[in-house]
Amino acid sequence: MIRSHNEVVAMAIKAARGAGIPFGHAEDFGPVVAYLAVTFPNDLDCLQSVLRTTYAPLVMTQNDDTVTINNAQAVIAGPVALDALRAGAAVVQLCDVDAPALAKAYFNRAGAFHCVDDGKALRITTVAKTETEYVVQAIDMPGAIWTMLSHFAAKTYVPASDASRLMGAGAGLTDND
Amino acid sequence: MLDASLPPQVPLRPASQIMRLRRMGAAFPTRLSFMRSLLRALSAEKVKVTRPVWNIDADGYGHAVYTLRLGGFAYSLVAVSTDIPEDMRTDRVIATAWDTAYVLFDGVPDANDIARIVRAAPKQEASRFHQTDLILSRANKSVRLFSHTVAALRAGKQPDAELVSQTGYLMRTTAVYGNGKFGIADRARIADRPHLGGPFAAEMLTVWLIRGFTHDLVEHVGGGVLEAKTKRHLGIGNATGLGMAPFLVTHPLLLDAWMQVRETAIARVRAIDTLTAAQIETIYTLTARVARYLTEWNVPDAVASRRIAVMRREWPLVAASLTPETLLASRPLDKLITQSAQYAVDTQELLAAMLLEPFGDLIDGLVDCMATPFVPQVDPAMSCQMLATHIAQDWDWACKTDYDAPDNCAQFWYVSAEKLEPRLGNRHTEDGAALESPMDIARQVKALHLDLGDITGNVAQFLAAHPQHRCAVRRVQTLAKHPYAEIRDNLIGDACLPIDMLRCKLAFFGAGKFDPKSDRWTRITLAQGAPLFDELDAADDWWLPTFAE
Repeated sequence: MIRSHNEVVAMAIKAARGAGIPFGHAEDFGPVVAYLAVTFPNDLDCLQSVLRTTYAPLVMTQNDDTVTINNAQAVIAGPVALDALRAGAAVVQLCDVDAPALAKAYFNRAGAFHCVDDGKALRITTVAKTETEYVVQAIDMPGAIWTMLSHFAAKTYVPASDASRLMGAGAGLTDND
Repeated sequence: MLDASLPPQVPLRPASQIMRLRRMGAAFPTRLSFMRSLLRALSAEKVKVTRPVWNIDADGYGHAVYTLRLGGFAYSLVAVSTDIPEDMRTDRVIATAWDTAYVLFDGVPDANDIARIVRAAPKQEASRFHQTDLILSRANKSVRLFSHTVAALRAGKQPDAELVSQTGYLMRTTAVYGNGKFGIADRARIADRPHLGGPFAAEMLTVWLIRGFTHDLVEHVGGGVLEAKTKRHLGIGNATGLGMAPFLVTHPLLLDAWMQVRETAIARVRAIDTLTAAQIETIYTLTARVARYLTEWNVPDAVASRRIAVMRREWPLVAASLTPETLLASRPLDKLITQSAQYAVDTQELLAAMLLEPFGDLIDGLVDCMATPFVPQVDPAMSCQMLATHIAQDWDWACKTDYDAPDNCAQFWYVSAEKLEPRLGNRHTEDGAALESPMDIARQVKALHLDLGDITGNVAQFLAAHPQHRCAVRRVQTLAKHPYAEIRDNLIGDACLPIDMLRCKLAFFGAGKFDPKSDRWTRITLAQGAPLFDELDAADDWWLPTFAE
C-alpha cells in the first residue's frame, strides 16, 4: 500500500520504541527506514530481526583514527559510527553487523560516507558530500513490513479503560451544544 | 558583520521568561499568526474563490467544491455534509462520524476525484487518501447556533446578535490533518510553493474555505442571506485536545522559529524611537477594541473567567497609561512594555500583541522565517565538558527538580490504543506509565547530567557508551543554539497544564476567544472577522474582532 513518507517515518519511530530501542536512536531509525524503503525496498525484510533482537550495549574500541565496533546492531551502531566519523575518526569498522543493509542505509542517507562490505565487516570512511537524488516521496510499503512495524508500535499504546476514556483526554463524550 | 539594512531592535525577551508554560498559555494571536499572514497573501494575490460544484439538498446534505488559484497553483476544497445521529456527535478523536468532512485537493478535482473524496472523507481516519489530497479535516455543527440561524433565515430575519457574538461560529473543526496523515501528501509536496510553504498555511487555507462553506450551507438551508457583518463575525470554531500539545515538544526548531519571529517583532517595535500621529491614533483605536473584545469574551470555565476578569480590570489602567505624553516621548512602546510587568501575564501578552498591529511594514516580512526545513542534529565532536556547560547554563530549572518526588512525576503522557488518542494519566493511580511517551524532556536531561558527571572526551564517545541519552544530548545541543526551542517546565509534574501548550500553538495559528473545557481541552475561534470570499481586497485589520464594530 502507498504510504506517505511521514507515515513511514512516524511508524518506524514508534516501532523502534516498541522494540525497546532508546528513543534517540528510534528518532534516527525512522528516516533511515523511509530511505531504505525508497532506495532498496527488498532489504526491508531485515527490519523484523532488527526489532526482535534484544538491544545490548555495543563494544567499541579505538586505535589511532580507526574505530571498531564488534557485534554491531545496526540500529545502535549506525548512529554511533556516524558520530565517530563526524567527530574525526578516519575509519569505522562494523563487525558482525546484524543487518548490513540497514547499516549501509544510515551512511548512504547521510551522503558523505563511503561504505565497503567485505562480507564480514563494513568499512566506512568519510568522503566529500555528494548531492543525493533522494527526495521525500510517497512509499509503496510492503503490507507484511507495515504489519510488522505496526505490531511493534502497538507495544507503545496503552489499553483504553473507562477511566482513561472519560478523564484522559479532559473532554466529554458528546458535543451537541 | 551586522547587516546594516536590518531595522534596529532592543534585546529579545529572554527564553527563561518567555518559554514558561504560564506565559505560553497567555499567548494572543498577532498579525504574524498563520491565518493573518495567509489572508494577506490571498489579498495580495487578488485570489478569487469560485464554487464550481454545489450538490447540496434542501436539508443541507451533499457535497460542494470550492476552487482558487494561489501562487500559480490551483487548490480546491471538497466539502461533504452528512446527516449523523446526535449521539455520535463528539469532538473527540474517538468519534467515528461528523456533520461535515473535507479534503483540500491539489488542483481541480475531476468527477472521479470528487466521487472518491465524497466516499472517503466522511470516514476520516478509517479511509486512505491520495497524494493529491493535501489536507483532511472534519467539522461538527454548533447545533444551537446553526439551528437558530436556519430558523431565523427561514423567518426572514437575521440571527440574534447576542447568540452570534457568544458562539462566534457555525461549525467547529475537530481535526485538521496535514503532512502525510492517512496517505495524504507529505508537506514536502507544497513546502516550496508560493504562500503555502509557511507553517500550517495549507491547514489555514482549508479552515478559511471551510468557514465560507458553513456560511453558504446555513444560507442554503435557511433560504436567506446573512448580513455581511454577521457573516464576517462567524469564524470557524475548533475543538482541540491533547493531540496538539506534543507537537511543540517534537518540533523544537519550529517552536524556536515561531518564538524568535514573534520576539524579534516585539523587539523591533520596542526600538521605535518616535511614533507618528497616525500610529498613535491606531493604538488608541486598538485599545478601545481590546476593551470591547474582553467584554464579549465570556466563557464558562472558572479559571479562564477569572483571568479574563483580571484583564478587564487591568486594561483600563493600561489604556490610561497611553497618554499623549507617553506616546510622544522617545521609545514609547519599549516603555509601555517594560511598565506592563506590573500587570498579570495575560495583560502583558495582550499589550505586546496589540503593539505589533500598527507596524506591518516593520515586521510582516519576518513571517518568512517561521518555517524551517531543518531538524535537530547531534554534534558528536562537542566535548563532554562543553555539553556539561550548556546543561549548567540552560537547564538549571530541569536539573534542580527531584523527579522521584510524587508531585514532580505525577503525570504521564501516553497514546491510547483506542483510535490512538493522546491522553494524560496519573502515574500514581493509573496503569500504563511504563508505556509513557517521551515528553519528560527535563527528566531525561537531568539523567544525562547525572551520568555525564565530569567525564572527559567527546559526545561521540559518551553516546557510544550511553545510547539512552541520545535524545537528551540532542535537546541540550539544540537549545544551546536555539534558545526558544524548549518549554522550560516539567511536563510530567502535577503543575503542568497542557492547555497552556494548546493555547500557545493555537495563538500562532491566529486563534482567539479561547474557551477551555478543562485543563487539557479547549474550543477556539479562527478567522473571526476575517475577509469573506468576496472581501479579499479589504484592509488587513481584523485583529481581535468585535461584533460591535
